[in-house]
Parts: sequence; C-alpha cells; structure tokens
Amino acid sequence: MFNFFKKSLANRLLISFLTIGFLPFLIFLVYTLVLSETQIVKKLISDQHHEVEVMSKLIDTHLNSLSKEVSFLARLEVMDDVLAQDLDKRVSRLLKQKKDDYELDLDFFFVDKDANILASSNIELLEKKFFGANSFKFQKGSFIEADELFMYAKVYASFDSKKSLGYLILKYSLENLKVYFEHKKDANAYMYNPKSSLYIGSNNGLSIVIKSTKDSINIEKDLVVYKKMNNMLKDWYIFYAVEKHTALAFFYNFNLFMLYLSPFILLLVIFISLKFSRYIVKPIKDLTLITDEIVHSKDYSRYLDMASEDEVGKLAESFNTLLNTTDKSIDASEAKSSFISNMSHELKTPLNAIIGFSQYLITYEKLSDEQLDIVSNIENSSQYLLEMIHGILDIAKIEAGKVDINIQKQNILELCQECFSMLEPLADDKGLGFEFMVKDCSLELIDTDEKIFKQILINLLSNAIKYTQNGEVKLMLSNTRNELLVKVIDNGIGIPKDEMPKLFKEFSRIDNKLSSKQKGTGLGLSLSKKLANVIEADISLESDGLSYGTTAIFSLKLRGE
Amino acid sequence: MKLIGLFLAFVLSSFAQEYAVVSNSLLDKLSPLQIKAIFLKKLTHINSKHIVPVNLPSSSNIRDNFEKELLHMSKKRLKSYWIKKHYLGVRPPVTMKSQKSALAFVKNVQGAITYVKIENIDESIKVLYKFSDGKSEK
Repeated sequence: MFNFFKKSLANRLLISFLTIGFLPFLIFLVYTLVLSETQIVKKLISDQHHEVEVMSKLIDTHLNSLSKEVSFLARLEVMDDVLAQDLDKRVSRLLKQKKDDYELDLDFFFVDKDANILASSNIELLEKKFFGANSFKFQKGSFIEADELFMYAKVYASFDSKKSLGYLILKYSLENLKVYFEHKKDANAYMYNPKSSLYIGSNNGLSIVIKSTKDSINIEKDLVVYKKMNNMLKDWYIFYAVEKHTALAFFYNFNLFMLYLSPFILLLVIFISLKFSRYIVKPIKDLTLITDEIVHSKDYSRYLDMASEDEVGKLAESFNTLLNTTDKSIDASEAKSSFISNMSHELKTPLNAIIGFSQYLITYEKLSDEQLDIVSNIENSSQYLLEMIHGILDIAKIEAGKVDINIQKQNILELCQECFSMLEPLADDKGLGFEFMVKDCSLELIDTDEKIFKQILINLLSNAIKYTQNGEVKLMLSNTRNELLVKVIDNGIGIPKDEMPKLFKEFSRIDNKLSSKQKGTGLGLSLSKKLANVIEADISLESDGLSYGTTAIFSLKLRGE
Repeated sequence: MKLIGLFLAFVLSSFAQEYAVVSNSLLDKLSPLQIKAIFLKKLTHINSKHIVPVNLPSSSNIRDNFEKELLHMSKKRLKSYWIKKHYLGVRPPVTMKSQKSALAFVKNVQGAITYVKIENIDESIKVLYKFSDGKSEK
C-alpha cells in the first residue's frame, strides 16, 4: 500500500486531488445530515416565539384600543342622556354606530347603578339586568366570563364630575381574536385557558401540558410554542403549532438531494482527479519513455520534443543539452576505441610474424648460446606486446559494448576448480602454498558467463601468484543471500593505502622493487573490473598496507530465480 | 301702518304659546334674572345646591323663544359668549333632544332646570317661571 504512493507521483497527485475535492464536500454533507437539523429546529422555534410575540402584541394593542374607546365614550357629554333613560335613544344610536364601525362580534351598553341596561347597541339587551355588575371594582377595568371579555368604564355626569351615572360596558367575544391566528397551511395558532378549559381557535387535537409562562415543545409531529398572555387575557395562553413535516420539508428535501448528489460528486471528483493527475504526469512519463528508448538504442543523437513550457519543458531542454554533450563525448570515445582496435589489429599481423620467426630461430640448432638468449628475448618481448595488444583490444571491445555475453547455468565448484588447476603449476614453480577452500557456500549452480568468469578469476589468481615471493595464495569461495564471493588471498607485497585508487586505472602499476622485476601491462585489473561490470559483478581489493598481503574480492550478484 | 302692526301683535298674542321654566320640586320660584344667570352658568348654586340647566337642541323653537324672552341674547352673541366661557373652562348647559327627555332628566336629577311647553307639564314638576312667545308675564 505504501509503495503504491511511494512509487507513483500520479497516485500521490490523485490522492491529493481526491482529498481536496471531496473532503470539504464530505464535511458539508455530514454537517447538513447530522448537525443542521437541531440548528434549523432551534431557528424555527425562535421564529415561532417571535410569531407568538407579534400575535400577542397585536391582540394586546387591539384590546387596549377598545378599552380606550370605552373610556372615551364614557366621557362623552351625550352620556348625560341616561339620566333621562335615554328617551331620545341618542346614546343607543351612538353605541350602535360604534358597534357597526368595528364589524366585530361585540356590544356596547350602559348599565346604571341598579344594574339596569339603559342604553345598548343591541336592542335586545335593553331593560334587562346586567349579571356582572358586582365585578365593577375600579374606575375602569375588564373581566372575563367564559369566552366573553367585558371592559368597563365609569360614567360621570358632564355637569358634575362627582355624580356617577353608571358604567359603560363593552362585551367582546374572544372568538373575534381568531382573525389574529393566521391559519397558514402548515401552522395553527389558538388560545387556551387552563382554568376554564376553553379554546379559542382549534387545537387540532393537540393537548399540551403547560409548565411555564413561555416554552417550546418538540413533539413527534409538531413543534409547539406557547406563551402566557398578559393584561386583560391574563389566564390565557397563546399557542403556535407548526407541523414538522411541512416546516422542515425544504430541509428534508435538501438532505435527500445532497445524498443523491454525493455519488455523482464523488464520481466527478474521481474523474477530474484521474484526468488531471494523468495530465500532469504525462509529460514526465513521455520523457521517461524517450530516455528509456535512448538508453536501450544507445542513439544519443535523438532529440526530445516537449511542447510544454513548464518545468517539464525545462527538464527536457536541459536533458537535450545533456544528450548533445553525451553524444559528442560518445562520438569521441568511439573514435578513440575504433582507432585503438584498428591500430592494435594492424600491429598484431607484423607481431605474429616476429613471434613466428623468432620461435623458428629458437628451434634452429646452429645458434650459439648468446644468440639463443637474444632471440628468446625477442620472442618474450613480442609475446608481452601481443598480450598487451589483446588487453587493449578487450578493453576497446568492452567500451564499444561489443562483448558477447553468454549467460548459462554453471557449476561454480567446477569452474573454480578448473581455474585453480590451471594455475597450480605456476605456484608450484615459485614454491608457494596454493589452496582452494570452500566456506559457507551453499550454492552449486549460478548464472554467469563461463568465459568471462574464468578470465577474471585467472587474472586475479595469477596476479596473486605474481606478487607473492614466498608464502601462500588461497582461493576461498563463500556466498551471502545476494552475492557469490570469490576471494583470492595472498600474503605477498600488499598495496600501500595511497596507491589504492590507482589500481583500476589502465596502464597503471605500482612502483616498487618487486613490480619492476615483474612484467605487466597494467591492464589486468582494469580489464578484469570492466569485464566484471559486464556480467554484473565487481572487484575490490583490500590490503593492510605494504608487505601485509592483499585480498582480492570478486563479488558476483546472484540472479533472482 | 302703526295700526296694522298693533293688530298683528294682537292676533299673534291671542295665539301665543305659553312656556314654563321648570325644575323638580326642590327648587323655589326664580326671577328671570336668576334664570338667565343659571342658563349662562353664572349662577351654579342656590342654597348650596348644584343647579343643572338643561337646554333643548339649538334647532328647537322653544329654545329660540327662551333665549329671546329670557336671555335677551341673539344666537350670535350667545355663540361668542360660550366661546369665551369655553376658554375659562365653563361648558354650555346639557342639551336634551326632546322635551320629554328634558323633563325626564329634570325629574331624575336634583337641581336640574329646563323649559318646556306648558301643556307638557305634570304635577310632579314644579313651575318656576312662565313665559310666552308674545310677552312675558309674572
């Protein structure tokens, strides 16, 4: 899983885009689904409280204005007519006119001290007794009997402010207040008096237990808000009920919409992310593809054509510069290699002739000892030269990449044994101990090129023998999980630390007493290392310093099964 | 010309309508000056009793005659009088629409005083002063 991100820029981009694109939406979705309902209900309740407040204020204002009207009428001079039993019906007419102005279910009437109704807006009430006369306690006031509100004001004679004539009364049916309970489609308002269990307006079957003067209740289907009324309607409560499924319909629909929308958004985000991550990575992929092709075909003269002007375009540009330079240096190097190989080839022909003729002379019987020495020298030097030319040719071949590799399963023990046997006579000649040890080697077969392997190992062994005067040379075989290690250990002259880096350079040899006696082209190690690289192996040298011996380590990478 | 005027005056007086200033029984006889003072609200109490003058509507003939015979003031003068009084906080007398209700008022209210046609009076009412549209008499 981790590699999935680690190895692909496109995947990382994809994940980033997905996160950036979908996470905010997801958070929003969770918010709307989980949190916002309580918020909306809260808001709804506060709106309802406001609505109730407004209704209650409207009702208050309405009743107050009626109460003022009663007081106003009570102060009119015409009220003096009641002293003449309103014989001219002036008071009654006035009250009737007022009643008609209001267009409500109400009645004005005048009651004298003996509770007789002397004047009224309703003729039927005339000359009757008013039942509620003992409720008059103040100059003005109100009281409620069942669903009727009575407002009264004391009437005084206009000519004598101390002379009380009776009371002017407004009988007001509370049903009139229904006009304030606006019956919306999804809301229902009504009034309720818990003392008399009377309702004004319909409660739609709701029964609410009143707990305080102002509260909100969230029942199964409804949101109900109530408030105690004040002043004249002090025992009454005003209720405002809203059906949830209609009030929250918009919210529920929105939630549903969001839910249906989310898969599409997710798909869209995925689609865009995929498209964009690929779009961004595409030039890089193209670049990789082209460079891969170049590496495989070794055609460094190619040119990357990137139309973009962004960072990738700049990368391609500098890559082109690099290619250009590489192409030139490779051209130079190729020229050098071909020169060397041609020249070496040309040299080999005359050299072979020299060797052939000097060998012929050596077998010629009439040569004196001195002459034989000279001819042997010629032959030796020529052999040395030929060897050097072979080395040079090999290096040139490697550099030109023209080495034929033939990788096959090889028995590692047999291979090493062959090389060991081949060099045993040389060691015997010098009287050196020569040993072949196998230690911790669980391998039998390896994939490698037989010829190259042998060439390297022989070179290492002969080097060890060459630079060891007396003592011993050991060939040791071991392996780790990934590598096969072939160690050639001698206790010869060793290598000074500061000379170590020079060892693998062509034509370089360490100057010392012993080496000057030895013939050597200085190509051996360098060639071995290059060959080793060809078969995915490496050669390293370890030495504790001059005269402490040397260990050459030939490590061969094991090919996975 | 003078003769015709006298004749007319005689004819009219022979058909003269008689009126009475009345009150409930608690009040005594009053002089025209007292009546004038009461109806102009210059006199409000008699024997520490509150007096309530009751007018008939301004469209009434009876009121016209009453104002002419007893107040001796034209409509115009009365109007300006009450405007002045208004600013002093004195309101004109209570007005009843009909003689009937004026009488009912007088019967019900102590110290109430009004004027009606003489034929409308009954025993429960006390006549304080009589006058006719011709000339007033004692």
